[in-house]
Amino acid sequence: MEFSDALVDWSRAQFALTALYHWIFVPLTLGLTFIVAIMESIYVRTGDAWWKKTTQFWMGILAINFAIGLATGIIMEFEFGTNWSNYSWIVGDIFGAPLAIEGLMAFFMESTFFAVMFFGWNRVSKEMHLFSTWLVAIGSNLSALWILVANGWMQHPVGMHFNPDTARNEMENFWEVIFNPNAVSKFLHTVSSGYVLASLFVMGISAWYLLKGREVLFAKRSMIVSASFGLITSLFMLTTGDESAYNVAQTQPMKLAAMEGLYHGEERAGIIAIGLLNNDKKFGDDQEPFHFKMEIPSALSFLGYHDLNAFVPGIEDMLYGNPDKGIMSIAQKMQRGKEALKALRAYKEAQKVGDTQKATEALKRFEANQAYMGYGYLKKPQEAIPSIPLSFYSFHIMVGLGTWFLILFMAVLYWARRDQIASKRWLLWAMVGTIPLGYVAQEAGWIVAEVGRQPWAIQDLLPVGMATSNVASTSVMITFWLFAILFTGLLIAEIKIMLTQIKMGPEGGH
Amino acid sequence: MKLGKRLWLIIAIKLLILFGVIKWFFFPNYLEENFDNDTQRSYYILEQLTKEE
Repeated sequence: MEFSDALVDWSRAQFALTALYHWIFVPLTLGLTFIVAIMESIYVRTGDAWWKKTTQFWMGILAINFAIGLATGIIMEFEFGTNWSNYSWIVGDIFGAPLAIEGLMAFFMESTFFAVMFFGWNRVSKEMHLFSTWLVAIGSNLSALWILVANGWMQHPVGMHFNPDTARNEMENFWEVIFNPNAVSKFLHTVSSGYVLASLFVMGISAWYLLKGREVLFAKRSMIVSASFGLITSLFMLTTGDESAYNVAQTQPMKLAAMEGLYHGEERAGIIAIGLLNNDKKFGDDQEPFHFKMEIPSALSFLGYHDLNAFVPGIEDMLYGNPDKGIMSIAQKMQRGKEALKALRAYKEAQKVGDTQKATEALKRFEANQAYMGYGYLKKPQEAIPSIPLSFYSFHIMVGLGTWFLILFMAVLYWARRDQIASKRWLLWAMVGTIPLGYVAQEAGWIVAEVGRQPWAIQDLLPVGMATSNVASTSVMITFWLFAILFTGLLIAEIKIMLTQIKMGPEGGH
Repeated sequence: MKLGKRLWLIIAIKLLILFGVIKWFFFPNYLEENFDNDTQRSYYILEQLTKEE
C-alpha cells in the first residue's frame, strides 16, 4: 500500500470511532420523532390532555438526544477533507451531491420545524404543531436517506464514470445513484432499525416506571404505542434485512461469505443459527471452520438468491477461483487491476507528451480492466477478505437480537391487551434490560456493513489503504483520542441529563 | 426552561469546540491547503493512484 499501516489503521480507527459514537444518537432520533408524532396525533384526535403530557415528555427526551447528538456527524466531514483526501477527490460529486442535498433540504427542513415543535406549544394551532412534528420526523429520516445513498454507492458504485484526466468519478445518472438497490435496502433497513431502537427505549423507560409503581397510565399508554410501532417496524425490518442480504449476495459476495463464515461454497447452503468459529482455521487447510454449529438448511441460498437450491460461493471459491461456477480468483483480479493501473499510467504519460494514439490505446486498455482497478493495489490475495470473526459475530448478534426484539414486542402486546403487564415483573425487567441491547444491535449492524466491506473504501475500485491522505499518523492518533474524550463526555452528559429527566417524570414539566 | 438552557449551553460549547478548535487546528482540508487549483489536485491524485511500488 502507498501509505503506512499505522496511518491507515489510525485513520480507520478514528472514522470507526466517530461513526459508531454518532450512531448512538441518530437511531433514537429517527424513531422517537415518529413515536412522538403518533402520540401527538392521538392527542389532537382525542383532545385528551394526558396524551399531550405524554407527547411532551418524550419530546423532551428527544430534545436531549437531538441536542447532544447534533453535529457529531460533521466530524466525519472534517475527516474526509483531512484524513481521506484521496477518497474525497476520487468520489467527486457522487458523494458531494447527496450530502449537499441533505444539508440544504432535509437538515433545514428538520431544523426549522424542530423549532416550531419544541417552542411552538401554545404559540401555533394544534394542527400546525402536529404538522411540524410530522415534518421533523420526515425531515430527519430524509437526512438519513441522502447519507445512505452515499454509503450505498460505496458498497456498490453505479451511475458514474471515472474520468482519467481529473481522477474523479463523475455522475452520469443521478437516478441510478438514488435508486441503487444497495442504497434503497440500506436506507430502509437502517431507518427501520432506528424505529425499533426507539420503541425499545420508550418501552424500557415505561417498564421502569411500572416497576417503581409510578406514572402508571402514562407508562402503559407509552408502552402500547411503542410496542405496536416496534412490532410493525420489526416485521418491516425483517423484510428489508432480507432485501439487504440479497443485494449483498449479488454485489458483495465476499462480505456475505465472511458474515456466515462460509469457506467452501455450496448449493443449498445453510445459515448458522449458532456457531463458534475455529480461530486456527487457515485458508486452504483441512480444518473445520467451526468448533460447533447449528445450521438452518438452505436458508443462506434462499436469503442470498431467493432460491433454496442456489450455489453460494465461499471465501475460498473467491480467493482461489472456481472455474466451474465462473468465479475468477483474487490473483486474477489483481492481475487485471495491475493492467488497469499500468494503462492509466501509460495514458497519463502519453497525454503529457501529446501522443494521442498512445493515449487512446492506453485508455482502451484501462477501460477493459477498470472494474478491477482496486485489486491492483493489493499486495496479496488474502487482503481482499474482511475480518471473518468481526463480520460473523456482528451479523449473528444483530440477527439474534432482532429476533429477541420481535418476541419481546409480541409478548408486551399480549400482556398489555389483557391488562396484566404491570404484574409481569420479569417482563418489565426484560424490557429495561433490552434498552442497551438495542444499541448493541445498532452498532453490530454498522460493523457488518462497514467491516464487511473491507478492504474497500469503494467496492472493488479503491482500497482503504489508497484512500487516505499523506498526513502524519501521530496527528490522526492525537485527534482520535480528542474525539474519544469529547464523545465520551457527550455520552455521559446525555445519560446524566436523560436520567434526571426520567426520574422527574412527565409531571416534571416541559 | 432549566433543561432548555442546559441543552443550549451544551450545543454552544460543542459547536465552539468543533468549529473553533478541532476544525481550525486539527482538520485543514489537505488538498486545499497543499495545492492552488484543481488541475494540481488532479495531477497529485493521479500521481498517487499510479505510483509504482
